[in-house]
Amino acid sequence: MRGALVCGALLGPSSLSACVDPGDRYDAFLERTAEMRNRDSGMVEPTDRFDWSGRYLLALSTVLAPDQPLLFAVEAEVSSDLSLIDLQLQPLATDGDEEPRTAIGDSFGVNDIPYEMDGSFSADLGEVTVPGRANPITGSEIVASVQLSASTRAGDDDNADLFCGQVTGMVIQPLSYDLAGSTFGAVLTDDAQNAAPQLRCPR
Amino acid sequence: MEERRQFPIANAQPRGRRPLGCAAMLMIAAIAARAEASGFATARFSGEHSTAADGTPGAIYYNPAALSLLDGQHLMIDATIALRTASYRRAPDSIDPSTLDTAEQAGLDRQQAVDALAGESSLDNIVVLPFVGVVSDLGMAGSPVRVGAAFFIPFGGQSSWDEASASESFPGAQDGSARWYNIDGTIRSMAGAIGGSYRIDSLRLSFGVAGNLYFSDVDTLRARNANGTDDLVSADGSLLEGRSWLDVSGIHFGLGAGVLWEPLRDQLWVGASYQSQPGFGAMEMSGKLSNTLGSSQPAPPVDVVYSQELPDIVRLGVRGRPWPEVELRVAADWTLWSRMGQMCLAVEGVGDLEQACATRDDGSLVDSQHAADIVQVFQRRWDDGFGARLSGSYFFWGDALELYAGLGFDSNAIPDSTLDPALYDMDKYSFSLGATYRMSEHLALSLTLIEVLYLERDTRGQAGNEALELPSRQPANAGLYQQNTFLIQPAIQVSL
Repeated sequence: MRGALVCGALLGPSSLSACVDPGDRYDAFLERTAEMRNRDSGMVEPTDRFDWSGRYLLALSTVLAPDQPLLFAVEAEVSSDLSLIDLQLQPLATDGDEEPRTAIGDSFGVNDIPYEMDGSFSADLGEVTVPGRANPITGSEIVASVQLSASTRAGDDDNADLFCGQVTGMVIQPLSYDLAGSTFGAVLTDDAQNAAPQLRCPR
Repeated sequence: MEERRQFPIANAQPRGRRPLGCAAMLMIAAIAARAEASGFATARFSGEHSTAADGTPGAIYYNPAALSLLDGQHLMIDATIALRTASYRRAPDSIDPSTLDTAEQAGLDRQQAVDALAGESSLDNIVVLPFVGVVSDLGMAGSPVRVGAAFFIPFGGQSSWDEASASESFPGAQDGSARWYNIDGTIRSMAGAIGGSYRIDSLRLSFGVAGNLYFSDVDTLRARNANGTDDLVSADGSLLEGRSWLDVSGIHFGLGAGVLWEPLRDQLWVGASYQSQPGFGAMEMSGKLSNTLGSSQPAPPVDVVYSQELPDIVRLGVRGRPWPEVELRVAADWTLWSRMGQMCLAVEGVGDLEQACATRDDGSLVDSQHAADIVQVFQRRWDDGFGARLSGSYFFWGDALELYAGLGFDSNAIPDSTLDPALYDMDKYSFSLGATYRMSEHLALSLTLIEVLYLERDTRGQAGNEALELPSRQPANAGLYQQNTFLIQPAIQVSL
């Protein structure tokens, strides 16, 4: 517990805040929570490449509010020789919106993503814009540079095809945030309205 | 040649005047004058001589027309040493309902989560508010002109809440239950003023004006998460509680003007003054915001702009000398804290900040296109503050020693819904005792002791900032608020 604080105000304006030091307590908080900032994203075991083309519901779980994912409808196209991937992402309105999971704003994507032999891939989506209605955390428009590091898993009788992994990059607007530690999961579905979001790779 | 006038005993008139009549005294008692400040107004320099009818160097702020009461050259150095204790008790039912459920989903102890969010925070701070002022007749004692300059702190203060015990699961709790509003910080406007007065002696009427340059800063740290709740962790146990450190500053101009009438020469003075809002309205400040939210890595500070409005102030004061040994003072102020509708924080380059920050009653933005520009709106919705004060002095040994006492009331300016640990206010009563000893013609020492009794406020169970929409939404601010302040006010006065 801190003792009484004496501020030497008479010494001059600059010393008025000498005993009140928000920066010191800000740093102290960062120090005691440092180990809690290494979030495990989970990754599925490497697999052989396979054709997982189709429609997916992608949930992006940020380090800012992991339980409030941004949702996207994804069109994935794997080339016939399994060497390249095309991804097209469409932001969806939040589940709290009057028209949940409807397409909001412009879609964006990236083509010719190399598909690695172990079933993983990395995609640089560049600078993307997500409208406010698709942001369940604050409701404001987001501009961010986003990179995905993913692995793929073929579905079985109980599970649909899946790709999932880590998200890196920076939120540029409204404020600057490092996305490192954020995760995503995308499940194959023809019913994006009702599919359960997958926030990360299965543990 | 007129007898030389000094302060504060200089407010004393030459001996042998006739006592003021009872009717005049009743008039004094019926008119209000300076009071203890409401909101976070802090001007208390000059002790019990801080009315709009007193001639001290502090008059440059209280009523520049009263500078005309001083002859010669005067220097006053005054320090208000505030010993402040305060506490805030947050009730468990103030915790956002989803917060505890999510903590349990994450496998954490529910009671530990309650302990991390509710309970009492306290502070025990000492703050010093200086005043330095000079007044001069420019060596022309018969001149109707007086000039003065001063430095003082009319608004704000600083607070540092005590640390508390915290479990490893919820490390943010170490900063106490008040942390969602304030952990450590300063909200302050310092002022450098120059002013002057002109006296029409035949009418015993003086006018004065002063210009104030306000140096304002906001430097505060609070707990915050991305969605404006008090969520501690996500369902997978990831840290959600973060910290937001705002450091902005700005310079603004303001004006004060007043009039002083002396209906009975050397026996009765009536003063009134008006102090404009610093910046004549919205004060914009710029600086940095450091946000570390959730389990993200610390981000570099970003450039932000911040706006707030401070009040304009109307003061009335009456001072009378019914007998040579006795002086009575009545003072009142009307502090227009209703100007403090909200504080707004936005990213730099937002353009028209006032337009972008406009909100509806529910706290949401009027123009949602600015949602990406606005970081946070702090709803204040304050009310005007009113204060009144009655004080008196008794003079001994030919004015060499003045003993004085005062009693004041000042109203609360903050409604229940927006009262929070960052900015406190309550109805309050103050009691003062003091003395001035004039050691020589040129030197006087004063000491004033003031106890300020704040009436407890209990807003538990009432809807507050948690009921607002983003970007105004914040964790529940309801709680039990208590505060006490004891002021020690030494001063030295040099007259030449």
